[in-house]
Amino acid sequence: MKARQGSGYREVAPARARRRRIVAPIAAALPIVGLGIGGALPAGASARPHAGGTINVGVIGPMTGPAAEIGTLMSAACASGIHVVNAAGGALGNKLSCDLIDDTGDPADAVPNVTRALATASNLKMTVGLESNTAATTIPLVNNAQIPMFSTNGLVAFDKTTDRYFWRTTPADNQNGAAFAVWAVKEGYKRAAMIFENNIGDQGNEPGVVQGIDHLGGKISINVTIPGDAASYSSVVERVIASHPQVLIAEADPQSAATFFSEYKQLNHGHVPPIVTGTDSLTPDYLSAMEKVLGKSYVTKDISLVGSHIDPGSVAYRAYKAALYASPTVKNPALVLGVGVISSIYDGIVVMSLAMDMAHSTTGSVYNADIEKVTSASPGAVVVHTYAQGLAALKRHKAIDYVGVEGQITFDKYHNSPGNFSASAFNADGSPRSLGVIAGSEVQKLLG
Amino acid sequence: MLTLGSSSANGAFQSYILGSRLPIVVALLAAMVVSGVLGCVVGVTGLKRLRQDYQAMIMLVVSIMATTVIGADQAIVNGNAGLSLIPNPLASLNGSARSWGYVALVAVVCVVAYAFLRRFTRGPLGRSLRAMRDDEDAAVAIGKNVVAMRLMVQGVGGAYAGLSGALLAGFIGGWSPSSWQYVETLALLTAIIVGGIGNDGGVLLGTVIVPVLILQGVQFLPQISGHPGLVEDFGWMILGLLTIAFIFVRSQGLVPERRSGSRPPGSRDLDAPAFAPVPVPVPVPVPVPVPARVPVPVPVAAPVPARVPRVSARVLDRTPPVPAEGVQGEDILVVRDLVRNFGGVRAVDGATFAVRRGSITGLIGPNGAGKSTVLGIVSGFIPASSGSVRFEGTEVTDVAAYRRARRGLVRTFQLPHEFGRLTTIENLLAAVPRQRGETAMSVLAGTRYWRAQERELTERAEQLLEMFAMGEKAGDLARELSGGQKRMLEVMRALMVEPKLLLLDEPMAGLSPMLSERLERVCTEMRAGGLSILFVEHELGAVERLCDHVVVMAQGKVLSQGSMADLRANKEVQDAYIVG
Amino acid sequence: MKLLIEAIGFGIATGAVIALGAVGFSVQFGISNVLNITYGSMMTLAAFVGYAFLQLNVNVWIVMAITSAVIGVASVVFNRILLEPLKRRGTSFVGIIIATVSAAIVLQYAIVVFVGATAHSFGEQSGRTLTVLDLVFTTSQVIIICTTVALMVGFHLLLTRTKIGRAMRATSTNRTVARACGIRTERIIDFTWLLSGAMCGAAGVALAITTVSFDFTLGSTFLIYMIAAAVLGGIGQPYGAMVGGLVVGIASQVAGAYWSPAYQDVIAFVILIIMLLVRPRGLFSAGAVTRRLANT
Repeated sequence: MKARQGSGYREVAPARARRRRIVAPIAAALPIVGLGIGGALPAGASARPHAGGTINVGVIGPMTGPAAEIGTLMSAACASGIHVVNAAGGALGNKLSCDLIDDTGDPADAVPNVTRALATASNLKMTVGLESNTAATTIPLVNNAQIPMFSTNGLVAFDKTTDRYFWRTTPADNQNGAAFAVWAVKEGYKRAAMIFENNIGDQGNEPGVVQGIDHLGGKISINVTIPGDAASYSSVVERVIASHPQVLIAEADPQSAATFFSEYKQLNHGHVPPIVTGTDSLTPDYLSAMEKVLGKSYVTKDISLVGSHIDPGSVAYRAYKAALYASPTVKNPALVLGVGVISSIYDGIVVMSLAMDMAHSTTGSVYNADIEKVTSASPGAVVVHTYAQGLAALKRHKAIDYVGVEGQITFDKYHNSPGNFSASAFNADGSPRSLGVIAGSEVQKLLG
Repeated sequence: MLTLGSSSANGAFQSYILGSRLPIVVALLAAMVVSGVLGCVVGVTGLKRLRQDYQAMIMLVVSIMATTVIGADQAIVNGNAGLSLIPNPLASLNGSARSWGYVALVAVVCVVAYAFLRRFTRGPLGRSLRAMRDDEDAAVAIGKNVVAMRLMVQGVGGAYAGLSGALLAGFIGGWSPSSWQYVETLALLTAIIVGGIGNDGGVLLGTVIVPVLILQGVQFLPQISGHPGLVEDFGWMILGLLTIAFIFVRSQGLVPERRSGSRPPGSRDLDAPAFAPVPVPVPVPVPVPVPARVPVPVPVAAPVPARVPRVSARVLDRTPPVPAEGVQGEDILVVRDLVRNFGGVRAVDGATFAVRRGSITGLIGPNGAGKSTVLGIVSGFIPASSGSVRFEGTEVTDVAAYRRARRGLVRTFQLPHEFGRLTTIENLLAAVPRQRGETAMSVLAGTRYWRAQERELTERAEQLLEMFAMGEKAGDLARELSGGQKRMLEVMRALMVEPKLLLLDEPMAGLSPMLSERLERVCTEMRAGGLSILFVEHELGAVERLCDHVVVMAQGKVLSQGSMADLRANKEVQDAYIVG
Repeated sequence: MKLLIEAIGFGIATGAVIALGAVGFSVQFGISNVLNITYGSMMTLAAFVGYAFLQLNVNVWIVMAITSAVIGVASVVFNRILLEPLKRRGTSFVGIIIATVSAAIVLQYAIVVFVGATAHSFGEQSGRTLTVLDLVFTTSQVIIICTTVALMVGFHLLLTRTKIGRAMRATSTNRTVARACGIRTERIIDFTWLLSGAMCGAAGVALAITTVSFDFTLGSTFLIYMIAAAVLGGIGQPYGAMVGGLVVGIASQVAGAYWSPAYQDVIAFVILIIMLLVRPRGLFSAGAVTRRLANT
């Protein structure tokens, strides 16, 4: 089982999230009013904290709007995380509860909503989610509130963040892009055309691809940015064809991709070179759109999807899977498992709970420092794969090293642990099939 | 006037570029200036006088284009990915102090901006802008430079958009251009509709009600399990339906446009329908009662000085210096070889005539003779294909219409062009050229700068209203006046411009006998005061009574001219025009 | 050179789709004097109606014809139940625009509620590729181009050569006078909405064929190009809308060929703006002068 890369799962619900932005002048009035009434109103349609001894896990993500699927995935992952922690007696004896904080996937709406939630929610001690669309605006707020967060965003800017409470176990987009390049070259293609849609998620990958191909001695035949949802890309397609690429490194939403590759096929006498794209595209939408254009045989053979590596054979993975199936609120555990990167929310909750246990405190400013300790492969540390194992080891006063669903976590000084990468392909039924693993170090090396 | 604001994103972007290193006030001002200039640039595309619907579409296209350009540009603003981590202007504060500090900052800016906007909209300047919105042609006819005014509105609108964008970007710390979708437009338009168009207070109310109660409120509805976002989708549908319902039920908004000025109690219909069987209540200020029941216009002889109200003298005092007796006979307007082609049709085909200073000259002719076109050309509303128009000895053929009006060449329209959503007295006040309150200075200096002049002008307008026996209508919205009253308003408004030559386009059409008698009287009084009038009219009785000189047109040409008695005898005129 | 010719060919194909929608929009606006933003959502509706028929294994061109009829009738109903009552109440121009924007949203989200926000696909309908000189067209593009040209010529002839066309123009100029002249204006208005609605339906299906994959934002995304084309050509002018569509299509494809494709739409809009500064009423403006006269 292969993973999806986590720059906000943008293709689950395409970039349309941002389209719902309410016109700025109106939105400008919101913060004031939103804050003004903040004290009087409950914090959204969220689960209210239980009486004493309950810690709220803030799930900050799009719970409504066209990107609401992301929110559903996030809350499912949260449910699995609190399930394992609560089953083992809770974090420092406190039961965990998921508090859904709706950022609507839109920065302009996210700020008042998150501000209000931070101001009014009680016992909010850890946060997860904070995906690309809104990360830049919500992370500073959470950091200011001194609440540790495990973010799934893919923004390169957070590779070098100094926000103390920020933690990320998923790669930034440029690393992802470099992994595309590594995979393309590994497959024996030296001449790659780059086609990226003009949006926040896809654009982020582009510099990594350029750097990667360059360092690996390959050649970029052409590099084009396409607007989303155009009626026709024929002229651009003709230019790409004329550059004679061996492989297409391409990221676009399903609709634009279908239009683009349909025209590619028409104009290149039915032939389309292999495509390397991100695991963001590992969705039924993308598959069905491409299948209707390029045929079943092509989509199952010639599309490689590159993203974070997850080992389905690991102990942590099995525990995660079991928790998903055991959580009553998770409607479609198989779908959540398919979106591998969402497991970083599960890992995050386990790690933060272990850090609370280690620090003997549920206060963010206290246990934040222990997050790195419970994941360090220091000498003498007991390697644990589940919360129960970790808690037991801590009770025996052992140092622990939690190796989670995403494998060994090694935070750099900016609290990033990008992990390894792997490539997958579509099976005929839409499930992913592993093609191979790319070591994280190989990717880091390219980016220097 | 429908002005879809230019992209506030520009402001946000500028705030980012400049604001990252400058103090907040400078950054906000810079955002305003840049957006204001951009607003003007956008405004230029609408400069050509187009129908309102065209303008709306152009604004729409331009705003989409701005978003597309910004989205495409990766060098400066990082394309659609947008900018993130914009430094918070109050970064030195932390925690809730920063949030509340920002709220306080926004509140202060809002109050200042609102106060400024009130100055902008409430004074004579706002009155002229609303006049332009109601009827652009009429605004030109009274000498308003609508191009400059529209640019100013665009500029100010752009600056406000920039300000809001900059504040927003500063607050959320990020910004990205987003594609245009109906919902975004709707939220804004609904806010305006709910609040009431043309009313800043109402819009403010709408802005609070719509996004806060409806959009934010949706989030408090319970989610339908298994269908994330479904509730929100229904929320948008409800918003749409509510808006439609609102338009049906209360299209003027919660807070209708304010009408300024007092509305004195009094009868509603001053001029009853023609041939009214009931005696019409005669307004007090008219010194001599007029037999209202007489169905035929009363012949009016030369002006009767005794009946000239004192006020007319005052009005005339303000008309430009009346030429000395010796030059009384000079031609104030000379039209030579005027030609106007519409496609293949020659609407005016070499018309030549003159208007003597201090005279009333009639311009008559059958339908389609080109009379209205000549009037349009003389006033500058229709460009001449060839020929020349000289006014007071100066060539004005290529002078813009509003400039001609400012020089004293003022027209009225065949169909009433009142400023419907202004009161009667506001209609008159708006017409006064070179008001102190219309300048940019007035916005900065405030009411004190123009109050004295305004009082003086109001007095003058009231006197004019009395003279036309419409004093009781001063506070009524112009659109609520009867057809005849609108015509009177039109003439009064033209007089407020202080014309030297008044161009009246069929002023008598549709007037009740009482009103047309009143108008005739005023015309003769004005002539006595030195005003020249060119008078297009079908009602030959009035022409005969009033006009010193009559020009007859047919098929675009001047057929004949002279006194009415001469023309009656002219066989050619009789053939072309069945003289009554 | 080859690339330029190719790009022009692509532009013609794209432009034809835009023109198809623009002609309907332009005529609708020109005759009924309503800036109908709901037109975009109607195109989306057409794509989904077409999708439903396509699931029944109906030939795609028959689907287009059926959908046109459905959307034509839907447009008449829409006009009757919403816009005409508003007009009778004397709602302002801006008020009616807002009503159409509202209706567009209601329709768009009704579609979301019924079929979801996910992308749908007509599948590959383009057929064989034909090459004429350096111009490359697919069979479906040729059919769409022919349809557009036929409808445009038909519309033009209808407006200029037939009695009903004259009645339509009379109604658009002044409804009261037209009624006084014995024209049954209600019928004329219904007829206008039927025809323009049918064009809208055809355009929705043509768009879905062209973009291959679409979702509930299809119509609103492309409406702006159609408005641009209609304004460029002159409102109410079928030929104008066609030329406008071609200019938009060709400009965007040539820009995509020689400059950054990210700017391809920008170029089309820039041409529009320049055009409007030079000829504010569009390329094929008629009646501009008479309107001016009527005002004075």
